[in-house]
Amino acid sequence: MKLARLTLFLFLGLITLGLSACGGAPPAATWPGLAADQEAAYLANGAAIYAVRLSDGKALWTFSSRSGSTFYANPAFTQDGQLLIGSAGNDYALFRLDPKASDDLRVTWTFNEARDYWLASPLVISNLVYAPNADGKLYIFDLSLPGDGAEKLLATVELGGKLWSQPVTDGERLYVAALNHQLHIVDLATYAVKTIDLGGALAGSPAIADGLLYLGSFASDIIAIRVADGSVAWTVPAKSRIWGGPLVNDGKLYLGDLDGNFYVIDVADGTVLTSFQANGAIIASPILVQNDILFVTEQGAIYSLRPGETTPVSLEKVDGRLYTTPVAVGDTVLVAPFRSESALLVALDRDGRVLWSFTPQ
Amino acid sequence: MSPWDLFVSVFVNTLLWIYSLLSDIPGAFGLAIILFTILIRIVTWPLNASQLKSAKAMQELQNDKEWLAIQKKYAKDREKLAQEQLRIYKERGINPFSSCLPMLIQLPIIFALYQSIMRSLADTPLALLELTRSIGFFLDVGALIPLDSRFLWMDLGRPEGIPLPFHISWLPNGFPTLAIIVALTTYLQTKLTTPPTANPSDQSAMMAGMMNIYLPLLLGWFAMTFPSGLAVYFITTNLLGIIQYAMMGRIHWRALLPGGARKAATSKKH
Repeated sequence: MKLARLTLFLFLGLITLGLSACGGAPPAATWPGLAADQEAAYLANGAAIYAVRLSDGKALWTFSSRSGSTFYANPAFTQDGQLLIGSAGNDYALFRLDPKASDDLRVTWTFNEARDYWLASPLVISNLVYAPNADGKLYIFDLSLPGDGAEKLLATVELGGKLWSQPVTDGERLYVAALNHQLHIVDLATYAVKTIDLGGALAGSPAIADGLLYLGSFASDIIAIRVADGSVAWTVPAKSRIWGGPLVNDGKLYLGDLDGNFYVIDVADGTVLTSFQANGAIIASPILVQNDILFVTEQGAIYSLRPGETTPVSLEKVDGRLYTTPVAVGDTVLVAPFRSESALLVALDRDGRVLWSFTPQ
Repeated sequence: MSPWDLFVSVFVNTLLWIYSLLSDIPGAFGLAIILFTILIRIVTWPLNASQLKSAKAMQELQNDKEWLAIQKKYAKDREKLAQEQLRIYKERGINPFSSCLPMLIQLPIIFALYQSIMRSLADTPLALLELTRSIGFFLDVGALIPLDSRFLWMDLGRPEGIPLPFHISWLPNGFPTLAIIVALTTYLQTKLTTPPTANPSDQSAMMAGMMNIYLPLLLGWFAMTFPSGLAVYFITTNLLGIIQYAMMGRIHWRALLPGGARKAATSKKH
């Protein structure tokens, strides 16, 4: 009898252990989010958000919520310099944090009524916050409204699809890319929605300039859309799927694909001016550092394309994988390596020299 | 890629291939899980047959004269009874736990199926990136991703629950309909497919009795806590199990009645 009972419990225990070890209902795990102002960098890395002083890489404060939040989105800044960041934990909470306040007064507002993870960075325009959630809804807040929680909620716009990227605006409309292949165009005055199917998942934020909106898709297309009427101006086939959003600068479009091809395209007609094979998948968006175009690869390489050059130069290779879009503050470039054994955050100068690296105590 | 990842990747690609065939139908991912479960049931048929064979041997033993004689003779000496039972098992080449072995072999399949469901749903950027890399050349990633995880009233990537008008802390997802169906179908399956025994104090009968209670509770708890895609798998596999046994004429309907198992065994004995 004892043997039978023991065997039964061992069997049931094995199932429990096996399924639990296989994940259970695990908190989300993905690469960190990053933002910076003139004084500090803010790294959203799982259970904690770290504020790190820009001048020397020292920790200023660490924030963890009591509701089991996990943070991976890039924090956004409100008009008064506070941080907005949503949780990719099962609490689905969106927080506003005051970086200047003491730890016990850090949270100045919380919204708990979304139904899925916050993986997109909200877009802040004056007092208005446009926050896309993975539940397919765009939550619009007016931070000047009195009250807490949902009392600041101005509208909820049902868009559909998982919304993982920060929206962009031309001042009249909001453009929200969705994983379900759709680009949602939201009229900012009426919240009327127009949707365009682009044939592949849209994981990165679009870029907008001079009446055209640019984005890449999992269908390996680089697409330009006329914002006036939503029609496609041109489409360029890429060699592989595109994850990150593009960068527009000086009449050229810059973006990379998952096979490591980096493209420079003429925004006027979609002509590929040059392409370059990097050492690994390009998931993060390129950024502008002074006049240089900087991009990173999954293999940890940092490349810089100088004005007038056609081939990027490799600046530095950091330990870990670079999926997070770097952030530039003046000449300082911040990168957040994922699964790095040496640092969570690395600051470099424009030439790729490491200024400091940050690892939490 | 580790051997385990490779094993799970085969599951992911099969599941997605089925999904790609159904992707125009609403609830395609739920249907894909159901069809995939049927496929797994067919593939693991030899294991189930072996389980059934062992169970049948155990059932025949329960009605054997020598077996019944030692039960009577050593009714008050449990140690001696156990020794004699072991002797008979050895003599007849029966392993009392061999009916559990096929279930143990199926565990990696359950784990792989769970992981393939979770990986396919890819609810974080990293998970999606890994998914795109594990999809075979024969599938169109651009068209396939993201999967539509809605099925009936459920999001298959989240634990199921029908919202309640009030909050219960231990039911964070609402009323667990699917968990109750999982527990019920598991109970029915174990009850209907466990061979009846004339002697309820017998080791294997006791073990089966405990299994009838603990397994439905355990799987019900899984269904309540884990993504509902797994619960859809549990329900499908339970129902298929019942249908399979019924088709083979091995369902013990009387076991559902109070004391029915004993009556069935006694009537079989006479």
